Amino acid sequence: MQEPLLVIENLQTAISSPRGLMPVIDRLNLTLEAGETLGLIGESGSGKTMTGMAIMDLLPKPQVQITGGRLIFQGQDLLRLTPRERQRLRGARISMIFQDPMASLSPFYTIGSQIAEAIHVHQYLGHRETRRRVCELLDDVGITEPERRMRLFPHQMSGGMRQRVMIAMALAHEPDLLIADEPTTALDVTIQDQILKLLAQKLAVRPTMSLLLVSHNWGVIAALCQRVAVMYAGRLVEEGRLDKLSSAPAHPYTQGLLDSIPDWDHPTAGLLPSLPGQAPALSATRRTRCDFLDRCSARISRCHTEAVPWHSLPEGHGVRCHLQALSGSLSQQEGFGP
Amino acid sequence: MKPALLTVEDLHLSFPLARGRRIRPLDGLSFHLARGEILGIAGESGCGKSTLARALMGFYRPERGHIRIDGQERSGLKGKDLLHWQRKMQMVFQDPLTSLDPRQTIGDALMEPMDIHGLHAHREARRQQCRSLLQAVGLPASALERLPRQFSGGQLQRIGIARALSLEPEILIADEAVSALDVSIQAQIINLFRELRERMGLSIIFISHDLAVLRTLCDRMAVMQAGQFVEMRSTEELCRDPQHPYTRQLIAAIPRLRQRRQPSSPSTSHP
Repeated sequence: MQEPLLVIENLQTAISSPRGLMPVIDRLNLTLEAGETLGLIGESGSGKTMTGMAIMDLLPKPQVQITGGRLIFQGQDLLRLTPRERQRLRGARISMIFQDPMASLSPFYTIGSQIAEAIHVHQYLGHRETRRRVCELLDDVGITEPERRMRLFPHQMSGGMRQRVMIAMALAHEPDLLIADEPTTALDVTIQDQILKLLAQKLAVRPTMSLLLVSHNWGVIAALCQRVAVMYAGRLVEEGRLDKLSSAPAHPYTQGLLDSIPDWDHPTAGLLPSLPGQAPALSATRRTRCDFLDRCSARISRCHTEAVPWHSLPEGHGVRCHLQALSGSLSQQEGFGP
Repeated sequence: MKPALLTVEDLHLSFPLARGRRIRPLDGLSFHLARGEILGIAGESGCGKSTLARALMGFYRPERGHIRIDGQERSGLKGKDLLHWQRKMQMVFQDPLTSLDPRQTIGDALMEPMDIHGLHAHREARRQQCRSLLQAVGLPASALERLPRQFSGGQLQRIGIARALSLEPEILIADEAVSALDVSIQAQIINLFRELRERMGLSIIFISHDLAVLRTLCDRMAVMQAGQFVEMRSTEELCRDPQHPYTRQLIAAIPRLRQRRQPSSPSTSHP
């Protein structure tokens, strides 16, 4: 079997605060095969964005630190590389698109010169050749009249156009891994639809490129991803094929999350089923109980006292919940990570 | 049909642009809001939906048109009469943190509107009113002494709603009031709006870009484009059989989750 493109192994991060290091991501394990599309879903503070930033080496140091684990990309541990070696990967083999393109683009330079800069970081091209490449990249993301458009400044473009520019930059070196962090959250629905279609088309053209899509929106993830991982309070709570996981979620949090979204196709009559309370605040102490306990309607006594192991279910489905041990059959294995 | 509480007739508003041109965010809007009704306004950024909210609240002065509550026109009112008119319609904003003063306790934030409008003259009566407001939005009375930064996004939005309710309005205008919230919290706040309508008979104008949210919450929906309503019908009709091409386009663009578990038991059923 081919080796996975990216293996996240027991990744741990912490934020330094006046009260000491506060763990955020707690022993995260995820695998991404070449050509696979994985959605990472969770609410604010769940650690999903931080996961993307850790892979890109964009965590704001020293406020946020990686305190443990390994990030194995194409067989090498990213955390053992020098900053220079990381830079050679960043934007070339691993690229990222962010939520707000206005914040990612400089207001002082034309978009053409910013795309040229992204090219030159990893590849020397002459003036004429660079120009040709910039036009080609803009054309590839559906920007018409690239010769004229490359002379525009970011503020002269619409939000959707700016996001297309960001995608052009991210794909300039044909990366093996594309990380998209809420790429359409700031856009209107019709523009969101266009950007999702553009990304889907790019993935179809390059079947070896993998996508890690960070989002809070199930619909957006469904538009692009085959597999989905659900994070809660810095931990992976459920993972599996999107169709399986959305139709038969095993974790009470995933169930509650799915139920509480207003659904266009099946509107709820009456009150929406909602999860009570809110996610736990960061805390310096190690947790020996389930993080979801206070909001869970299915909790049992051992949820209060025992750390929750990872339960593997058939077909790559997995869940971190004590209830699985009760309902689970003998074929399931128990362990602390997939 | 229930009598209209709010009627808006032929509302026009424009702002000047460079070189003598003008932009028209409100271009002849007419609608009414019945007592106890939730009217949803959908549209994309720049369509004028927030400008409409602000014009209704009186932050902008419309060039033409009428805004009436219970038949009483806003323009021409002054002093006490204007205050009294304004009391009837209050607004909930998208980001509760930026709409609260970071150095003001929640109690003071809730009492400030009462001060301006001279309600509950006695201090103890005011505090009592604050406590019942907090209770109405599901927060403990201990919140009164605390500062905005000590609350989460969902709790702050509850405070934003409590503040809007502090003048005992008849109409609430909610401008993207759940858009900044996490999904699980968003459902709580949507439910809160619904409960407030049931309990207090509030009428609500709920502005959102999220059609699915509007479909869950609203009795009637209007779709806005370039300062005009292109379609306005009962939610049920509009969603089942959209007539205007723009409405269809918006609905087609909603990213959908095809296979989805159906909630086993909705917590409460709606009459």
